Amino acid sequence: MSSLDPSGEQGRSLWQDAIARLGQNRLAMLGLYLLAFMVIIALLTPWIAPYSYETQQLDLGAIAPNARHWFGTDTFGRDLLTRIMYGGRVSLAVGFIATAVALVIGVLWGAVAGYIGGRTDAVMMRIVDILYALPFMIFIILLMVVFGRSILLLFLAIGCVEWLTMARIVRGQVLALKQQEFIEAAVVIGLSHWQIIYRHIIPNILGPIIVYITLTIPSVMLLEAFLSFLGLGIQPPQSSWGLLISYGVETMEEYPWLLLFPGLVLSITLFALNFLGDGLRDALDPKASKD
Amino acid sequence: MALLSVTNLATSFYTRDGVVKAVQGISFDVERGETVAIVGESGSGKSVACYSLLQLLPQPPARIESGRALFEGIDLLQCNAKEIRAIRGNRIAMIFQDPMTSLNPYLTIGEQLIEPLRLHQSMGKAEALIKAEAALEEVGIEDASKRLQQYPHEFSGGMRQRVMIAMALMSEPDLLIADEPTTALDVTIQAQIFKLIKTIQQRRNLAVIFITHDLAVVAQISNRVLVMQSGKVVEQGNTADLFKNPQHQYTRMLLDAIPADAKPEQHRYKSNGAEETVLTVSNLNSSYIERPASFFHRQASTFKAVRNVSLTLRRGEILGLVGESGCGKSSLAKTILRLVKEDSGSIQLQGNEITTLKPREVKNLRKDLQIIFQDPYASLNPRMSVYDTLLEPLKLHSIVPSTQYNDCISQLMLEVGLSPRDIRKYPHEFSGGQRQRIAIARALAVRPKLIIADEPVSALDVTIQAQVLKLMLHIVAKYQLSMIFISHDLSVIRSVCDRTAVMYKGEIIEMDETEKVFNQPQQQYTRRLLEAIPAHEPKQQAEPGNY
Repeated sequence: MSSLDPSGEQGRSLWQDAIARLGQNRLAMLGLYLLAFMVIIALLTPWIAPYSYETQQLDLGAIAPNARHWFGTDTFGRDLLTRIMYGGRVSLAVGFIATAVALVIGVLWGAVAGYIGGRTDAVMMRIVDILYALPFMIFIILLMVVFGRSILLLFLAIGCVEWLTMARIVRGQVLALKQQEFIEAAVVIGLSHWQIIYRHIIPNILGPIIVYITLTIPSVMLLEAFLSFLGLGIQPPQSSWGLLISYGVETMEEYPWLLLFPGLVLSITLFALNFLGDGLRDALDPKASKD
Repeated sequence: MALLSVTNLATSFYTRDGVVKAVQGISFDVERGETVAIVGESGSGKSVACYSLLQLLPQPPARIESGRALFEGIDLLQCNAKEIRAIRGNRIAMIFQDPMTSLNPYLTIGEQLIEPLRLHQSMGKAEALIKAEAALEEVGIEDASKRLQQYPHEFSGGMRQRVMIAMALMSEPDLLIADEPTTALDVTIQAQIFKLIKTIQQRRNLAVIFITHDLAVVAQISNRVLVMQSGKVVEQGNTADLFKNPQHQYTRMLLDAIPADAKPEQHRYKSNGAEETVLTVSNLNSSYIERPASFFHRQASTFKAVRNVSLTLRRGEILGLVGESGCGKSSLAKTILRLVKEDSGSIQLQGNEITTLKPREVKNLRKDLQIIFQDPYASLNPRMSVYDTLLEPLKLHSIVPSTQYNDCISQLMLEVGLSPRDIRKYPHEFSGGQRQRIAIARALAVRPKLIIADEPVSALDVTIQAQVLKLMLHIVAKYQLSMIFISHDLSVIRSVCDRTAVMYKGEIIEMDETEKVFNQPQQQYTRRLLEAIPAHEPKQQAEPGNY
């Protein structure tokens, strides 16, 4: 391995090694830069957006991309670039926050259930099954009715549903891993259960977790669009990529740019995510990087 | 003319990291009724060579570079997929190493046995079943008609290997290729399987290619031997001649590495006046759960793995624990290590009772008790560098102040014969023997009083095995450690252990000085175990003329 320091007296953690390896993966770094770019734009939007996202210029109507409106305008004469920028704030936030919620709950729940096993496992997984069986829409509507509508609550609600699959994946992996002798060796060394889960189990199941994250983020973004479409998510004049795309689909024949640009931005983000996810998965597996 | 004549066979693997020349131009003949053993360490190309003959390697990455393999005038290497299928499993049959995984668990034995007949000879089901029954009887399985209806899990390991042999013989092949067929089996079962293969071979005038890493096996079963190293045949010849007068240096090294030839005087427990007892186990019983309690079965079903075991271990002493698989050796180890809770009995470590320790106190116990596992591939966390693996116990038990971590780890690496430069590497970058050294270093890191070694060299090649055993003896002597050495391999036990305990069905049936156990076994079972050790001299070998 070229990254080895020949005089290496010091050890480095898996994460430090992984970051070094990730740095050598061009595609993954491209993904990382693209994502970082998207996030920075989203954060700075209120200051750098060329127009207001809600001011309508009805006399303008939908015009094709031109020098003043790079991405064109929508049927109400609102600048599409501005709306995509503001939409990105919602979509990226829902994608990352909901996935983070799903990740934390799912990994902990699945790891604990799988590690302890036996009756605890049975009870924990039955809870997951029950939640699976609840109709998702009713669950969300109920949350909205009880707590009132807010974007943050929407994020949490989506996260609270997405963690179920994560918990199942993680539990399965942990069950298989638990049989390995190095887990027993860790017990013999005297590590506590939490130390074993944290140091020996979770690093070994990162591969499937990362793959699942890269699948969850886009599905969460689309879920938000669906909920918003039903009136449960964010409301016009606010926007999100999912909403822009679903409106774009309606007017696809007359005004194709209304679909093209939001779709393009979403696709680029998802590609970037996948590149980064694949890169991370390889970087975290010492065996995968031979060069 | 020879039944199979291989000339200049070369096989390479084309991987991302370059070309691996696994087999580099080997030639050999196999006559009817003859057993040819191919011996070599893992990675020497012995399996690849045989798999190439039957085109069993995925191509790519494998590629057969050159050579001819004439089997009754047909060049196996030139056959197309259809032609080779007609030969494979029909004229040339194969048995594999692990009988546990080479049978389909969802089909009955009968269904699996008749499959080749139905396939190759399009025989009717009833007729095929009659032949299957006869085949099972031939390999010594009683009550064959009933056994045909059973599933693989209802057979023991040795029985399954018999079934595999029966399956291989069903279509009356001319050549049988056996790839380490007894490596996964106990020594008494191994002896039975050898006898069986020999009998059948004589009855049918069958040619056998026997792939193995174990020279003792070679001595017992083969007429001729090919010694392979790094893809080349370094020596071949008559078995008796080769053992008597090895020509190549590597062959001599292999012969020297056979544990029985290692000097038993190397390590002998020396009483240092004050006999300090490190471990006292008395009347220990433990069991494991075969099927946990569930909604339908309120009572969990348990299996009593350790029955009424008592033993003592002095400082600096190595106690061998020997027995067949399932006799409770590992369960005993796990109970002593507090990985499994005992049912009754007491375990005292340096006079302190450890069965009554609270979970909080067990952590301190871990400092004194360590384990080395059999499989160095599974016992190291693949995502932790060697540094992290060794750092973990040091940190947890505050063995040395944090400023000395690096020194301490370098020293541990040197102690087990590894370079401190390699601490940043991950387990997969090491060979099996090196990994076992890392596992030993990890066990040593906490400076334990007692190490339990559970089959520590069973997964290693014979020359590596000798090195690792030497290292373990050195460490025991240097630190005056006590060790429980678990193995099914009697010759290994004999070469390292001061005292030996024989376990049978959860009980220790005999325990004494090692030489006494080996020279004057008291129990019937011990005698049977000893008789089953493959002889290291090929003298019992039947004369080739008998075939």
